[in-house]
Amino acid sequence: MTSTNHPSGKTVASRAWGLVVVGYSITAVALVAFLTINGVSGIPDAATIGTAGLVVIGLLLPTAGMLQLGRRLSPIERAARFGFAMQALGLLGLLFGVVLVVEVTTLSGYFLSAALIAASGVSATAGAVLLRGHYGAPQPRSRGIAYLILGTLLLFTGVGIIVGSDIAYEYWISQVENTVYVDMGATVSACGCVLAAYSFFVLHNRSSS
Amino acid sequence: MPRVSAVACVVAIILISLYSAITIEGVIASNAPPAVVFSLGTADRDVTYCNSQTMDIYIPSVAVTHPLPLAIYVHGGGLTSGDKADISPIFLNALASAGYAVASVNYHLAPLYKYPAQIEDLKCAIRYFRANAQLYGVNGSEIFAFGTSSGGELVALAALTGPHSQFDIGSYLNESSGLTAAVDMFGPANLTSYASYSDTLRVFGNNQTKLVLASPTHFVTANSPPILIIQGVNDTNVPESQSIQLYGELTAARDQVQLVLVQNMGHMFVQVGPEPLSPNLGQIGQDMVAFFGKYIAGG
Repeated sequence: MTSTNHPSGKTVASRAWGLVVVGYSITAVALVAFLTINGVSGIPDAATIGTAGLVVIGLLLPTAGMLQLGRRLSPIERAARFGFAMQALGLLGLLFGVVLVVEVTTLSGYFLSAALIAASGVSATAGAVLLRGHYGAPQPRSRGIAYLILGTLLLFTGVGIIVGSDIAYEYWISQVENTVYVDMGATVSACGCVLAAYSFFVLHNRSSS
Repeated sequence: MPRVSAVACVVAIILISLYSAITIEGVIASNAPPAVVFSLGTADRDVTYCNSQTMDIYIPSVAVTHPLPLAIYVHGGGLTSGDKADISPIFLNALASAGYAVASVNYHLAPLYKYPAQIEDLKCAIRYFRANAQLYGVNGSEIFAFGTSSGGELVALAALTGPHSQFDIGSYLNESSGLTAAVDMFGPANLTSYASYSDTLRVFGNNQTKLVLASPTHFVTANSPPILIIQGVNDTNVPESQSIQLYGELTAARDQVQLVLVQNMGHMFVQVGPEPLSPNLGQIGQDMVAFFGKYIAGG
């Protein structure tokens, strides 16, 4: 159980849950903005920079929130602490992977990015599974964990589709097809973010009630 | 509260999915240009030629001479995109009004089909028309071509590589793939010095020697077919220096070549600055008709 007996401790914990929920929500908004401007010519730099900024903030907030939540658990709850850490690591890896795929334009860079995102996805999903032991009961909370696992899988699958499409663009598919697949990937990821945000909302409500 | 948040979550997912579907539909719709309206005769669309490629054939009803001279249009798009429907109605109507049959061809696109698939398709299209000249009522000895951007590059290559070349593979090999004359509109001319040429990996793969084989300047010889080069002076995509180099090399080889520098024009006829294109599109179309007309028998 989270150690939230002290009033100020409760506030800190609430803030941590809030960081995760708000962060995932911002990432969802950023992905919708991204699919809006993707493939459109003549987009102002401000829109591109703004979207990139939202992605960075949106991924850093839940990372920070999860690290705080993990730190607040007692040392004997190693699996759950580890779970939060792996989730945080996964999101951080995702952020680096996304930055890499935007910055590099070489095929080797795309493959490196794909590998980083895949490893991050495994880490985040494993982290969510580890949290199951901690938040597994009662039933509504286990539903929250199920949403988190599904949300994490969707988030990383969507980004995987985006990177995969960028790689395919070098060999097989046209610019239009690439735009469509990247939009689809952003949609899947955005839905995953909404689900992940909701899962933490459910888990927080249950842990504070 | 939990029920409200659950509803909000479901609504958010539905809205995101709907918005995405609308956005994707818009992307697909904007990249499928509508069929070109042709009121000066009959349009035979999506005719299959050679290696499962398609073309639109426009036959004017105002023609006074038979068989008709034929002008083939080759679209641009960096050899990775574009469509036969990209043909300018201004040029189509100018040619049709002057009694030309016009064909706008699709060709295999990179990255799935690396260069030289594109020039091989164009060469095959030319041979196809010679083999089927009677069917379409066109004159097999008066086949012209014009192209924009990478399409300009392809028509210049088709002209300069002559009637039988390394790019002649596939069907109708007994026919010539040579052109009577060509109009190269701001096509890259020398890819080895074309620093801004993007997508080289996608178009040419790892074999960068293909850049030479995709450069019209590489094939300049004496007695090449006449070429009219149209170039915007404000083009930053295919710089003016590319067309000037091709013009210079053709002139040095004593080939028939004309260069028209269009003022206030960027790439693909985009107006740069407040002043209109000079010459304008209508005049460019008439220049092209007049240029082709010089090489029609009795023209």
